[in-house]
Amino acid sequence: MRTLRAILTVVAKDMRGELRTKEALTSTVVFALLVLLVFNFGFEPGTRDVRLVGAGILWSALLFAAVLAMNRLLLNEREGGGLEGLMLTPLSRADLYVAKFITLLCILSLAATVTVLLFIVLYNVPIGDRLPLLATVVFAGMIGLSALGTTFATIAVRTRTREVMLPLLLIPLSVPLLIACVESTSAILAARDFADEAHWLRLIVAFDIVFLALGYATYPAILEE
Amino acid sequence: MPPAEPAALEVIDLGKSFGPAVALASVSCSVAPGEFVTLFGPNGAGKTTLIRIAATLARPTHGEVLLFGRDVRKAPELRRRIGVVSHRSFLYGELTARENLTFFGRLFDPVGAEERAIAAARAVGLEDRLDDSVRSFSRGLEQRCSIARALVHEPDMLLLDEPFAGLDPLAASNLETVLRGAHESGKTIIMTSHDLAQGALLAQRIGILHYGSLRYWGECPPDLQATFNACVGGPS
Repeated sequence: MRTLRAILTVVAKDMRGELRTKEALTSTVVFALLVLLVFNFGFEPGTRDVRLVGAGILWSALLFAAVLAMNRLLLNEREGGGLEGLMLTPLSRADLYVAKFITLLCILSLAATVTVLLFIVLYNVPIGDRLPLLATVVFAGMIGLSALGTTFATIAVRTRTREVMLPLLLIPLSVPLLIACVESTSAILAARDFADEAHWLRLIVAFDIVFLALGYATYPAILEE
Repeated sequence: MPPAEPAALEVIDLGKSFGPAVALASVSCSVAPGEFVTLFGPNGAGKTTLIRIAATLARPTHGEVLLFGRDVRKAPELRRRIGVVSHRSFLYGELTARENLTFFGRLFDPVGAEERAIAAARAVGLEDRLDDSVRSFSRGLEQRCSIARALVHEPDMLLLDEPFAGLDPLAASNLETVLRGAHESGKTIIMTSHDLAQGALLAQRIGILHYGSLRYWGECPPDLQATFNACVGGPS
């Protein structure tokens, strides 16, 4: 109970700081919007094309915007040495991972909500009653990205080439997640029977569990050089 | 006969290497509860590394550090008994001093965190600036807030890495008063310093590190400069 309260204290502090500066959230949403606009102008996709390439466009926007948010979030911790300050508290390093994961998930989920709505409007997506299903897939994808991103952003933020290092570490490992997310989203946009595509969602959930467990187990060693 | 009180800090054969570079080589020393110790040494001597390992911010390559008789790596709850001030403030610029201090206070003990935050701010003369954003602070104010953060959970020991660095004379004098008060209240204080005169002012015992080795450990000698030069190979 005490640990949970401490984790929530860290998350509340992170969210308060973020809502005050809106650094990560604003840059993420603006970047996602720009990616959506560029693809829109580049392809001028009609409703039929959206069913074919829409999922790829949406997840490209979400992934690159997420990288931006991860860098921003951990950089804030790095600037004043806040992460080291947290390491001096009785909260275990593994619990710090949980706190940072929840914060990142909150920010990415907020950014993803805006991005998906912009995607639906800009691409005139006839989503209908499949919106909750799309939201489920996007949220499950954000859990996986947050699980990986918390670990890799903590590594990357200590390097001089952090802007390059994070995507270099994150994107190759997130390929299975992205494939599963794009396939699931594609099935939803094309209004295919999702029961036939449920294995993609199971893959996303498996990815989430594996990388959450790995992050939780390895974070203490990552924090201490 | 009551059992002997364990040392506040006991360093046993401590070593730390970064690849081929040796930052600390088999350092051993012991600090009694309530003692004020200053570690001197030129840049790269290993002072910061020693403080970081004692504070559990870094892992030693070999050896161990006991805080109050226990290995802090195996007993993380011991972090409640130490407060750390480093080159970096460990504060969040976008939050106010009150929010920062209450936040760290809550992580140690949620009960009475706000009251302890105010008391810590008062101890460093920061009570008038509690509701200002840390980003708006000068270096001296930020350092004072950082010390308040280290005091907010009422630790038994303070680990201070170059706490006077970058402070103007007035801020340095204020910090000296705060440290004197903390020491008089029974806290163990271990501090690193470049400045021999400043560092020796409050110290009951000093250590001189050079190339990761502890070259001197004992009471402050009458001619500290000469001892320092002899240890680090400076002009005699």
